[in-house]
Amino acid sequence: MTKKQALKAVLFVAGFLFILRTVTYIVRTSGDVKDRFAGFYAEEEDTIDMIMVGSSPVYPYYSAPKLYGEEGIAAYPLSTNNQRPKAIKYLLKEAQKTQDPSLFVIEMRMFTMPDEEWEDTMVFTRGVTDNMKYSWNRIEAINSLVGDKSERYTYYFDIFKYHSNWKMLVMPSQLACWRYEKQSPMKGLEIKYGVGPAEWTDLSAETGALAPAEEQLEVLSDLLSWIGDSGKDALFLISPYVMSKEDRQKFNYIIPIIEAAGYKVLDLNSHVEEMGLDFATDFYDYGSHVNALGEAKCTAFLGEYLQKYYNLPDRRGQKGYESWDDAWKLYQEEQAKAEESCLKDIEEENWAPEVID
Amino acid sequence: MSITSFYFLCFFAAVLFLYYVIPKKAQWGFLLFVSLAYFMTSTEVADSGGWYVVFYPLGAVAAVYLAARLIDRTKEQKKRRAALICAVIFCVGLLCTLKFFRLGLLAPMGISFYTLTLLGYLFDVYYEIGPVQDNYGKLLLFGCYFPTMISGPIVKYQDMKEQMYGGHKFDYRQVTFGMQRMIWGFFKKLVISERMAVIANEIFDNYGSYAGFPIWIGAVAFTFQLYTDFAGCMDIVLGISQCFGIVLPENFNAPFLARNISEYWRRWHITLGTWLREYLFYPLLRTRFFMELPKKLKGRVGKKRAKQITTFSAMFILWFVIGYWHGGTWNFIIASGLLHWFYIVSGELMEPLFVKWRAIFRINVESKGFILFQRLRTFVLVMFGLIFFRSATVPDALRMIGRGFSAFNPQIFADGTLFSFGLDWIELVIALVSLVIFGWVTVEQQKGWIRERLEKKNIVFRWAVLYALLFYVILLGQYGPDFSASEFIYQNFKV
Repeated sequence: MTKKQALKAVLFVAGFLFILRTVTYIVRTSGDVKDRFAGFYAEEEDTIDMIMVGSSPVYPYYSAPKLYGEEGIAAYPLSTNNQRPKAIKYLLKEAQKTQDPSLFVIEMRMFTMPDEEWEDTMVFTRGVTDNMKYSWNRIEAINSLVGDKSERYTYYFDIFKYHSNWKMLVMPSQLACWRYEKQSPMKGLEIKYGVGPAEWTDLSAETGALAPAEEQLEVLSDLLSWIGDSGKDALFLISPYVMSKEDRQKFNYIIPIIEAAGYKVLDLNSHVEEMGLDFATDFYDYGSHVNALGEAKCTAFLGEYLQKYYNLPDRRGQKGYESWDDAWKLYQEEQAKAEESCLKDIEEENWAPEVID
Repeated sequence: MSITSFYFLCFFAAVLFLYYVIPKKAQWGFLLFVSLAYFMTSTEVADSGGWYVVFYPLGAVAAVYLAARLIDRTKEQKKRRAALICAVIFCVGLLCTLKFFRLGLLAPMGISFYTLTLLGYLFDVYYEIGPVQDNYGKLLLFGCYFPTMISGPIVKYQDMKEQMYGGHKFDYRQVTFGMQRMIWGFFKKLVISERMAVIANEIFDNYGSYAGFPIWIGAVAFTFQLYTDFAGCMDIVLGISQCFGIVLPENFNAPFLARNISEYWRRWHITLGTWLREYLFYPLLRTRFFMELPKKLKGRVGKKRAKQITTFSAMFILWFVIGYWHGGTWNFIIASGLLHWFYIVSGELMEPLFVKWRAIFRINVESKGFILFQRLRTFVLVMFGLIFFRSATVPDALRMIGRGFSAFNPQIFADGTLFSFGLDWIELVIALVSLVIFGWVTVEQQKGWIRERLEKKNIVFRWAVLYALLFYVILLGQYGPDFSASEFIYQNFKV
């Protein structure tokens, strides 16, 4: 092989890989999670001070535009459905490639569930891996999250999974994702409509402790140690929901471990009355996740808590935060519509359809 | 490990790299090692843990090796013949026991291919038209060369010996040509064949629910499915081998451009046809029975007819064997054997009548219209055979054909029925566009190799074409976790 031939071969392969990467980013399934991650990658470098990770109790609970508009905090949720705790470390690493956050906020609901429940459900793993840009960190995340080695290649090269979405190649909204960077107008927030009333059970008197799955404790221990090494601060968060006694006991077991490592735990379930959260009106799915009304309360409480305990900079009015001003403006409009809709549903007792797991 | 799988491509890439970094002298040994390793990872072995099946090819090669050496070293005809017969009985016996008698034993991958390949070599040694191989390992590589183990082609020792054992320096052109051919094979298999399979499966599996045109659409879909499946596999196999510097014989030459059934069989599964002609049909005609038959018949039916009856009788055996070999059941015997024998024989018998008609109607046999008519006629005849091929049983095939003639419903081409066979309109458009591309390339190919013509274009155009084809296959191919791409059809038949 001559030098010229070798050069040609290398260039051809490089061209192939570039097109493959671009095409894959475009044909990855569209939706809120893709928009949230592409939105994160589109943020200007070193503009975000707080990264929120965790499962579905993140993106409908805490509004990044509201945190910015009311407290001046630039926060972004890297959250996915049923996000396996194993994924958290890799997402935080990913965030640090383009941002320099001083605080990680980690939602903890998934720690109460054994990982094996989710390992076989490909879609939840893919929610994380198939929304990350190609990198070594992504490969490490796949190796950690996908137990079946023979299947890993379909994650490394997710074109194997998404090639049948080729029709998206002609959709302007998806073509814009060719670098997996597309501004998220509301900074990853998903405002939830609908009302599904629930009844709150106060479990604050429950002091018993129950160990969660061993593997989740190992993940937690590894995560605490990694955060310690990273030199960043972290806040562990338990979002309000209709909690079982067993979950309460598991949190009771985990909280001292986190506090012993030097990090705060904010359990919003212990502040329900203080927040003014009403389980009869502020949830859209009968006690699991909040709607727009609940989101406003949770965000407001979190914002005040952050102001009180963390020294996060006020970014309002600063250069480079124009898109955040736009997001705040848009949020207020959209939130008003959603709240109005929720209030109408409450008035008419028009409850959301039950979600069957 | 299917050759369309990701792991096979990784395996191939690693093998290709190592092949060119090791000394040339060691290349054949390396290919032998790789071939045996591939054999051991074949689905049959991997799924069942039946590692013992490796002894079948080792045994068959040993039998042929010993017989060939004996034949080569002795002048005594009796001994030569005895050695030949023993080896043939051993190999054919093994093939029949494992493949056709279904005794519950595991049949190894490619058994029919390596058996024919080895027997061809043995016959050539016996008839002194080919050299003998004194190295068992080299003969083992000839029999078990991994690209040919999948679905052929059936190779001849004389064509392979220099290429297989000579050693190869990295040849950029050969390797890139090989890879381009592989991509073309993936296009046929993953883009066209898998889509055609959706329609064919729907209609063949539920033929009782259809009548009229849908039946013929299913038959046409299966005809294209089978061809693009087998030809696609051959392109991948020939491409792989070309990357190693070993050029394998072509197995297809645009069979649907054939103007009659005889020509079709000179263009379809060429190496099987050649093998059977050279090692079964001609030797059969040279047997005492067939030599004396024309003499016995001459007095009763005349010289010309006596010769015809003799040839047609030998052809009957040939076509029966071809049909039986495809699966051992009557639908295969009819589909790939006796029906084609009937086509050829009736065609030859009626040729004088056809000549008369052509003269009466003043048909120019070289006109484009007549050539097109002949090609369509051949396609339709082949398609009828393939209805038997795809059907579970002969009565099923007959019932299906009956249903095809039981209704006249051209409205299905306009009322949306076409989209109810498993492919929506966009998928159907992709299938048709891909068939048009495939057809265009096939016709162009008759004027010379497209890859060589492409090579003369500037690099921008060349790369644009290659990237377009690559991503056409990557995006429109039916593979990955959401699809279960079938094995190659001929791989399952093990013929």
